[in-house]
Amino acid sequence: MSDWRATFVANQETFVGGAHALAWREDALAAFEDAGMPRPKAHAWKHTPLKALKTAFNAAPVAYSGTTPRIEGAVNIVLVGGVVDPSQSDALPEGVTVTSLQANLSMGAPALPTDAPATLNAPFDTLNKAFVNGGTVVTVAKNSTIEAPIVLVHVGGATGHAVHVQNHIRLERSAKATIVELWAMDGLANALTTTDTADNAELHHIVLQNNGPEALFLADHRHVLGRNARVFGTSVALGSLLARVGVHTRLNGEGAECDLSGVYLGHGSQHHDHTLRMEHKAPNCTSNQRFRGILGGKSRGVFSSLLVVTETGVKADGTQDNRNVLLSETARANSEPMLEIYTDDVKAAHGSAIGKLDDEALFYMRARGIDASTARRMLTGGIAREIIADIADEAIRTHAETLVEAWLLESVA
Amino acid sequence: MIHISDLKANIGETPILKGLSLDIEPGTVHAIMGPNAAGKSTLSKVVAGHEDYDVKSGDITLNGESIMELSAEERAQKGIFMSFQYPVAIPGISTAYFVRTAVNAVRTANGEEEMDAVTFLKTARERMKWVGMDKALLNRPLNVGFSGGEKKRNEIFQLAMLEPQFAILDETDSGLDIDALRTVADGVNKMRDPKRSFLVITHYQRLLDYLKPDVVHVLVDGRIVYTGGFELVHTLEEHGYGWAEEQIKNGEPVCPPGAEA
Ligand SMILES: Nc1ncnc2c1ncn2[C@@H]1O[C@H](COP(=O)(O)OP(=O)(O)OP(=O)(O)O)[C@@H](O)[C@H]1O
Ligand SMILES: [Mg+2]
Repeated sequence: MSDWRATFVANQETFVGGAHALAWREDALAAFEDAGMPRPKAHAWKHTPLKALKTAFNAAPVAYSGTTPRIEGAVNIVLVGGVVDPSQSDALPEGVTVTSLQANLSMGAPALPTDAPATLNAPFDTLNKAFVNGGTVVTVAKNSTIEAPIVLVHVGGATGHAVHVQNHIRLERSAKATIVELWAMDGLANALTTTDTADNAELHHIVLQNNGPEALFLADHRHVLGRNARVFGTSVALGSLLARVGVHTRLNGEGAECDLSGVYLGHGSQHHDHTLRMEHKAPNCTSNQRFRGILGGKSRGVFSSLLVVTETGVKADGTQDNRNVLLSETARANSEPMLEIYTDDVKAAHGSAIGKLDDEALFYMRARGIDASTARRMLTGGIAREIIADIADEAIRTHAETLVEAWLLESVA
Repeated sequence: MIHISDLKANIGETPILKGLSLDIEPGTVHAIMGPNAAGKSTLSKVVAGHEDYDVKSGDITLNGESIMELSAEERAQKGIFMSFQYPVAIPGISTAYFVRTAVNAVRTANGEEEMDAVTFLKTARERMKWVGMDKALLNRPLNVGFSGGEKKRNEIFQLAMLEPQFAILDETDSGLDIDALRTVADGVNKMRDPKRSFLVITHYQRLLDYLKPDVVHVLVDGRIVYTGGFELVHTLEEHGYGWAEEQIKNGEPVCPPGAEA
């Protein structure tokens, strides 16, 4: 019996969905066992060491007594260990429903959107399915514009324990909303997020990852966009010892647009990995990617992004742009924008850079009386702010800025 | 006020400043003219505390105290300002945020209270007017996409905000159109004060016509080779620097055409 199977058996009683759910959980576990852990040289995990995931994590619920962060000016929905806690959650505005995924689990495995792209985090998606015990289904009704951002605040977990959670977000036709994931967990958080943005809808999907310093974060994002749908995704990655964000986007309807941006800040031995696949499947779609790494200590940043234009993705327009600033001699970055094109008539541009803080900029600031460490913090903060500025909602943007400021004070000397 | 004696500085193994001396009294405006690559910008950066330059010997004092051991920020806090020949663009930091941080860093270092946001904005608006700088630039990332002239106005705006004792203007006139040059020169003249002195580096007469320097120096090959009054500007405009380079090569005393040896 594998480690994970033993844990599965031990955790069975705590699974939501009861006996009905056991069959599909078993299947998922079997698939995980078939696949096995990725070999060290496996392409998808080439730069991301999985040593920390070698042993199985107990997925039974653990008590939580921390202070839950909230974002002022937003609708906060709090999930403790993946389970929605109504007592800590705000009332929802009209036009949006958030149901706890738990209620659905006895009726079958959580459904993924039609045409959702595949995981980039295999085989941990199967582990997620086998153990999933919480999450949400968020639906924004057609033609509704939700002004207030909806924040899924994820807290709880503990070192050595795992939480497997799924959030399924659907924007119906011509809906518009900002859905935020705020992560402040410990232990292993294995999270699947699907977004399904229907024709003419506009989704702002922001992930503020501020997990504990020892946390392990596996985020499996899968976006599918309909005709003229727009998705603006921003990932701000500060926490976790190991954080892998795999974002697979399918531009499935003509004229869809997806802009993904992100900033990852690393210190100590942190490892931040953004692995992306942007698939232009329908004609006339646009995609832009802009990611920045700020890496100090012995941290490492990975940006590995494949832009795919399929035979049907004619008149695609795609950009990929990744820049990394190394704050120490021992920090490292991998930057790999890649392109795979199966049709003509495509516009694609990419840029990639790894460098130090600009010495001339530092001198300029110091020559105006600003001390060297403040200058370094301002410069690195400026790089982060370039990305954070993409967050359209002011409350969320301000919160992201505050998190970054705190990080800089702690990490940039 | 500023006293530079026998300054020698290298970049790597290459000597750039080769024994440069200069004395600037409070309240005066000095000008430096000299051919390309003579070491003018190097001099300003060494005074401002740039660490790429390896100072081999010599001393720089401000009000009698050596600044050689001070960091760039400490020099700025003591009232030394350099307007950059090539101001640096910094994405992600707004001009307002940058200038306010600088003003308050200097104030704090001098035991003064920080300038609050409202006073800052009021003062900034007023002094931007002095140099004809568009208010909208306050909210843009520092120098990012600024036109050549906007960058130079921004330098003198910062000079006005920081109120230094000693300011070096390194080719502030390059990049300014004819009207802007007049406006910016007016701004500099507004800053003139019996306790403040200026060192103006330029290739052209026009800026100096507005600023009326008290003393004009010729810098050739890392040294001040000749010092005169305002009239020297006209000689240089007419004859260039070839005569000086020639005389130095021949080991003759440097003497401009038409001047008494
Ligand atoms: N960081 C550097 N690395 C290498 N060489 C340098 C550096 N800084 C200055 N120099 C060299 O030192 C010499 C003097 O340069 P400096 O910029 O001081 O000249 P300048 O008198 O200001 O000229 P200009 O009138 O063209 O502005 C030049 O030959 C220049 O190439
Ligand atoms: Mg120069």
